Amino acid sequence: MPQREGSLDQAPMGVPLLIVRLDESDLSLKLMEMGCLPGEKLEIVHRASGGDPLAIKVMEYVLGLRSREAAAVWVSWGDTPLRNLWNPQES
Amino acid sequence: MSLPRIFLAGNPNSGKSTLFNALTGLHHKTANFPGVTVESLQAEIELRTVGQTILVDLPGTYSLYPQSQDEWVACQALVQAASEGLPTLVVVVVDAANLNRSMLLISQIQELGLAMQVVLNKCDRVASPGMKGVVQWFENEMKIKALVCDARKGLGLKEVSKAFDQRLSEAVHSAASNEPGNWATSWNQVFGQGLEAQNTASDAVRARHSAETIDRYRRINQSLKTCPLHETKAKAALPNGPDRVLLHPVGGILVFVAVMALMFQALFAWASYPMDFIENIMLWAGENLRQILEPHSPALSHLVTKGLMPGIGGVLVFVPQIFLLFLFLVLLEESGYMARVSYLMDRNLKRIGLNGKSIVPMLGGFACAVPAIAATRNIVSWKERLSTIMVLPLMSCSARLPVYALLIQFAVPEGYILGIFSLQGLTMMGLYLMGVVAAVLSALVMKFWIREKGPSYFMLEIPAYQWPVSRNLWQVPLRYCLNFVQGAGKVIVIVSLLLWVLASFGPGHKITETLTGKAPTPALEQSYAGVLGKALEPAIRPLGFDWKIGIALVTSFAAREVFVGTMATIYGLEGDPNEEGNQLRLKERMQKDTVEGSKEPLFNRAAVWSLLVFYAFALQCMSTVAATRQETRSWKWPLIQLFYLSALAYLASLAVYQWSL
Repeated sequence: MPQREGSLDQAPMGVPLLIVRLDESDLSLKLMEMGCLPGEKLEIVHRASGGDPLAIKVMEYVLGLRSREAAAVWVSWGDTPLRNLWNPQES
Repeated sequence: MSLPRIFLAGNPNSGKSTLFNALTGLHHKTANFPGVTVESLQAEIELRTVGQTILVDLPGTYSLYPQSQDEWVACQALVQAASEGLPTLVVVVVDAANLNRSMLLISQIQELGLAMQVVLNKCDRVASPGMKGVVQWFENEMKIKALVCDARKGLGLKEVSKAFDQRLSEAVHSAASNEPGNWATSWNQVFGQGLEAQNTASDAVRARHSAETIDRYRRINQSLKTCPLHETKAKAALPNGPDRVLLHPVGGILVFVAVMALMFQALFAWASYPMDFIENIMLWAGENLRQILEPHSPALSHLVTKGLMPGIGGVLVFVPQIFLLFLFLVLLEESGYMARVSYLMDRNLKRIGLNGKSIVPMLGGFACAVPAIAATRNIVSWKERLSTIMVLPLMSCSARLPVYALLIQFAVPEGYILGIFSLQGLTMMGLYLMGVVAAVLSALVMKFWIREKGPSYFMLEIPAYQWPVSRNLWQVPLRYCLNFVQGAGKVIVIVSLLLWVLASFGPGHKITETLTGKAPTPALEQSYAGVLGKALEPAIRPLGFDWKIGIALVTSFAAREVFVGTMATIYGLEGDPNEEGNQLRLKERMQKDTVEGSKEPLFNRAAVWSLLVFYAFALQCMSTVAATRQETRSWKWPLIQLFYLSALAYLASLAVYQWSL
């Protein structure tokens, strides 16, 4: 599967995702404080019917959020090794 | 000189309040909601060398940049403490399984320049030997003293107070007048005036905070590399398997309804045994007091046994129900189920203009609207928060329980369906459901009617399941019962004394003569209370109420639970106390009463249903009005609330009575 990118609300469930960036919005600060930072890995662990809300596993805990909020998070996934944006030299 | 202070800060779900409860026991005055710390709670504790110290439990927050009212309370307290120069220790309570995320708050608080201590909590979930390395890491890398404890199981509490003592005595000795640092100054510029200012904060400020957060996490991740976190790999918490059912769109709702049904069954069926017990004790005590006092002073005897005792009894009798209700709420919260309900319900609640987070205050509204209104503070959107506050009083609070419990007996026969569900219990549940439906409809109206803008979002940590075994299980309900008896007790005693005066004396009767026994006590109808009730009668006649119920409506305007006490006083006062059969219980006395000039019972089916509906909807609670005033910082919203709920109650009662006649 090639590397793909998309907003978190559209991303597949149960697949390791990597945060690429966050949209500039009033939500982004809150999201970052809760651990959704560029370079952080996450996974969608639950999706309510209709895709809203959804639950993601990030920084070893589970966060529930609305799909509108998830739309502010841009993620990538695929079979290429996930590049750790924090420490590019590590990977 | 003011006492040294210890602030407990930390992320939500880090177990701050559990630690606070473990350290203070029952020694603090107010109580926060299970799972939501909204006020910073205070209690005095005794430390070995420092002595008397104030311990403050702050609301949980993820950073010092607040987004909701409860977060603001916490941040403001910390930033202010930084500039006051009083001996202060900030304790950051950290969920040991979630160290990463807590580091943001730790790094921000570190810059406030206050004495600091980290408590790694919930260590039952972390392999312990590795924790030593983490403690060491804190000391070497972060220059912060840390220690390990498990507040739920009460492990390591002695070490915790010892460390508090040590840190604080160091802080006392080095206490110099702190100059607020740059960081605190710029915080004050943005948030000093409250949250409203933050909504208008410029994009530049927001961008600065974002950049700062990214930078902080970058540094945190850098230093965490040397932290032996991997050796503390969290032991698997309880498996999340139940989520398959509990978060299922259909199954989840069914389970939720079943849990609620069980709760109301408990409140009505199980609580009746201790309630009967308390009732009998009060009856017995009243009779004994009468026999002791009567020979000495008939007036005093009358005051105590007919005025005071019924009032106090009316309060005490529903302590078991309040205890059970809070026990349920704590169970739901501690097990991690409450957060899942919020998550599950957000979609539906959003549709009616509320928020998933409204579910905690709404369920809490079943206990008492006053703390529940304060518990809305963690809802970020002002509009959603306001709507929640406005519809909260429709959730039948525990003060309505005794009213329902008394009246249902007249409307519904005893008996069981399928052998387990009591008919009266089901009726009770129906009344609660009616309140919920009214709340949903009112919320819909509010959604289109309230014009307030602001961001709306729902972000909620869903904690791992855990067995609810902590001391919170009995401490939180017990504290609420104590609060209730003290708070409601005062009101009810005052109101019942006032009522006794109004009911014992009347126009045309000289008070002194009545008191000394020279003149007989006037019949209730001729007393001041009777005159008042009669004046009200034309307005409430269409609802099926007579002047005696009118008196109860007036007295229970301040607090609806006064209804039962008022009934007890009225039916205790009426009739000759020496007459045989007057020792009958309140229920039997009310049953015997008839509509004036006919054989029709006063508490007939139609009138009782009408009264039940009235109490389900009406806002008869001064404390709620005051709480709404405080949380909305205006008189506009409490008045609107009072008006729309009164109108709803009157019209619904009218419809019910006229239809069922």
